[in-house]
Amino acid sequence: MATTREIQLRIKSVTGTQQITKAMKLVSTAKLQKIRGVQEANKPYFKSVYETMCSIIAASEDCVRNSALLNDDIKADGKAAYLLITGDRGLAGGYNANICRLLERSIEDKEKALIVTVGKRGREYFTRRGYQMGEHFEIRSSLPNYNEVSRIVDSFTALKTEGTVDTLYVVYTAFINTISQKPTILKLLPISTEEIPEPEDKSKMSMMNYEPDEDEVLKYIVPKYISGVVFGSLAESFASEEGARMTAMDSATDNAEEIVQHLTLQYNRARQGHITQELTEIVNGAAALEQ
Amino acid sequence: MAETFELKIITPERIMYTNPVSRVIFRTTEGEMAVLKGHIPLTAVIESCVFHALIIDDSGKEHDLKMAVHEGFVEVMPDRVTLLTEAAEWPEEIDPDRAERARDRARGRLDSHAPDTDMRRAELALRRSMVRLEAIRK
Repeated sequence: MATTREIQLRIKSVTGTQQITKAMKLVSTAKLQKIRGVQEANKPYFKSVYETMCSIIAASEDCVRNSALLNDDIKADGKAAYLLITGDRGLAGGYNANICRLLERSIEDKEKALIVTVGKRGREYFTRRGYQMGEHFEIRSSLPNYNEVSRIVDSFTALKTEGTVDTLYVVYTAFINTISQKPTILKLLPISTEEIPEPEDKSKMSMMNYEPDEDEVLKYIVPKYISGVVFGSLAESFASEEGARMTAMDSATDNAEEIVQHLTLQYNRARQGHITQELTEIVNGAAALEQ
Repeated sequence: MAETFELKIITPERIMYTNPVSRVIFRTTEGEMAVLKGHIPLTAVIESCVFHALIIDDSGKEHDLKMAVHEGFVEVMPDRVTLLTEAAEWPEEIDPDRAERARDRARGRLDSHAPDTDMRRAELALRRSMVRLEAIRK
């Protein structure tokens, strides 16, 4: 049986860990709130961009064919690029592992996949397994901002316009709620015209004029749309990361609580045993003297 | 008194402005343009520019509302105008010193003709800083 001193030391160290996990949980909660705010604020912008793009595409099919970003010609032998969004740090439950496993399982041919990463964890995972790695982006702040997003989008979409790959995917973790997140693979380009909903207001569409012309406006607006999608996926992933970390840290705190309880029990037992033993020794000693 | 229409300015971070105005002036890639109520439907790509909106207060007086807008596009309908832009600033949000420094830096980069400078980026940076300075000038 461990001595009382040893048990006391362990209780102290577990309590220390518990304080850290508790603090981490609080930090994650605060960050999550902030990210949700950014997400909400971004919605009206993204929705308007998306609607405008849809109405241009619906108005003329030709501009889709003319656009280097939207056409679905196969030039690069069916190669695909994946933008994988993971965290830089661990201690977030299964957040990083789940998304990496999903992507690894869905890639059929290692040779035809190019992996572009945001976040160190995903990069380490796929480098170790010998995948073809593209560029790596670091996001310094805990909130995604449009400057950084457009940097990512520019070089990611360049893969398509330059004909290095045919398809672009975004691999991110969709945020459902704080305890449930879903790793998702989203096809970014080419956009299939069937997926574009028919605009509700047809009269608006036919009356609309474009300056300079449809092609130019579309050329401008498609990257904005992609930025919006990437921004949204980044925000969702960040929210998921914090959510996963929150849950993980919450259960870690609960676990620590349990261990402390168990150890306290052991400590009390050891202390009691110690006192009993001492008493017995004194009584026995006294009895021996009387004789 | 001129008739008013709804102006909405949306950026990724916030809805910046939504209010009735009587006229807006901005610069598209094709040139400057003013929009009054009842304009034909139009979608136009705009350049970095100072965006003017004329608002009419309760006493019927016109005010010129200025802001710096950096690229985006504008959707004009007969009864409303929606401006979608990645970045827009009110004059009071602009730091004049920073804008001046940015302008000088961009000019320096353009003048240096170094082979590794991204000319387009430097030009855009120059445009942006000059628009900012124009917006804060009274």
